Amino acid sequence: MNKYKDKHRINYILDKLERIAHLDFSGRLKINAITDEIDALSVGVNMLSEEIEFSLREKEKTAQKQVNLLQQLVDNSPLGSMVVHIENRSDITSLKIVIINDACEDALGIIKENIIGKTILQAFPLLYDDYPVIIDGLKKAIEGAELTLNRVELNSSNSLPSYFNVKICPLVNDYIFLSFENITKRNEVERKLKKVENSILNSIIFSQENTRKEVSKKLHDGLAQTLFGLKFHMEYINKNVRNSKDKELKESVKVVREYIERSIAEIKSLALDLMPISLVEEGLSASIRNHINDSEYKYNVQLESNINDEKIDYDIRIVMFRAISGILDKASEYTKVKKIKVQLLNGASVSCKIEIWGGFNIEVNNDGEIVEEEFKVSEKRINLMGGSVYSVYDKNLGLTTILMKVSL
Amino acid sequence: MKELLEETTSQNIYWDSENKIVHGVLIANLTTLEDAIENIDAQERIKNKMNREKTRVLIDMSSVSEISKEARNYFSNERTASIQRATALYINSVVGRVIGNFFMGINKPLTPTKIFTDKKAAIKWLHAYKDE
Repeated sequence: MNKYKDKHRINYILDKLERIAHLDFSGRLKINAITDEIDALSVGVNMLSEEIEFSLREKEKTAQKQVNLLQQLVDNSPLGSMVVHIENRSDITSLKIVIINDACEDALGIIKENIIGKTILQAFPLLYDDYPVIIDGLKKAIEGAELTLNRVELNSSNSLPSYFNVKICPLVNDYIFLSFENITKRNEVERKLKKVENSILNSIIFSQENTRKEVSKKLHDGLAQTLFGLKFHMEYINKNVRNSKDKELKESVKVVREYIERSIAEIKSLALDLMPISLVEEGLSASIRNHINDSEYKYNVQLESNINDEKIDYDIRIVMFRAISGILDKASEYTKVKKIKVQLLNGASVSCKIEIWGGFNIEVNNDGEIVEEEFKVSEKRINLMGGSVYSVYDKNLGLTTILMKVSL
Repeated sequence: MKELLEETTSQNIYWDSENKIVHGVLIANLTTLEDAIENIDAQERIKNKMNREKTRVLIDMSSVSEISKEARNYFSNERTASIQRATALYINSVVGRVIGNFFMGINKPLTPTKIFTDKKAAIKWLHAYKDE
């Protein structure tokens, strides 16, 4: 055994091992004919080197296949999409951009050739300071969470703010998928549509109110006056036939007289229902009080009012009156309703709180907004005036509380 | 009684009629995939000639100091397993032991395989597997 030669052979093995540690698989250790322990070690190191190199190549091939697959998926996505790779789990800024599709270029106003292969901080230097919500999302994705960020405001290259729904989703092998859905145009279109819808609804509602007002006036001034005239004539005829012996004639006059009186009452009621005169002349609280008195509800209604009608526009009075009377009428269909308290207040706005005891529940969504179709119209009317309606139902107390508010 | 039936680049392959086993003697290193395929092709021809479903194989690795990864992978694949009933690896050096252990531990052959330093023991072990 030559100690000098053996030392060199062992040094070769150590060099080779160091190269393997640095993923350098070049060169093979020479095997002597001696086939001693150092040869055996060299053979083992050579085989180990081959195995590690092969495993790494296989892993790279698999990773490349996955990237190609992702590339296809991302390229075909209509949404702005990006895939980043986690280089260092403890360093969020090390995320490297590996795939970007054309839609993402358009959405973010970027050129993909300029940022592919860069870290997110190199590609988007302002990301860390200006968009902490996205940084937080990426941190959560590194931990394995999938999340959607709604209405994230991003400043595009043309300096106009754009709004995006951003989805961040962790993938296998340390990849993270991000999609950017530009909702700026959609929001704008929805806003315009809403405006048109409100404008149309407004026209319909107020033309409906004007028609009601007109019909009410015609009933009151036209038909009711004619019937009053007829009633007057019938009084005259009634006096003249009082001494008549014709019993049939007397009976007929009496019946016609009663018909006329009943018709006058019905027309008066109809005219009031269409457009309460008191709403114009006396105000909101008086009209509601009249409505309560005329409706003869089976339940007890308590009205508390502290409003100054002079400050309330006629349009607001109508809207509030229709909503309040509509709720009172609807509640009368529920036999379990025993008591209703209506409170009217005004300051900078006119508001109404209605408390209904007896298990009368109006269907609302999670935000307390009314979804029941019959009340939607009232709610819409109040919304059109810039007001709001909310309803809360306390199951334990069987108490429904409805709050309406319109700014003056 | 051993009859030489096949000679490949890296192996002389005999039929041991007494023990009814294939006896391969590696005479050179196996550095390519082609080396491995050539050897398995030859073993298959012997198997067919001896009218066996599979054969028991003894491989003498005494003269080998290298078997490439591709060759090792081939020897542990399904095609090799479809020819060999069981494989005994005879070694008589530390180098052979390293190669054998690596093959067993990393490549994990599908055929029952065991390392021996004694040929008689290897043949005895092979006899535990049916010759058919």
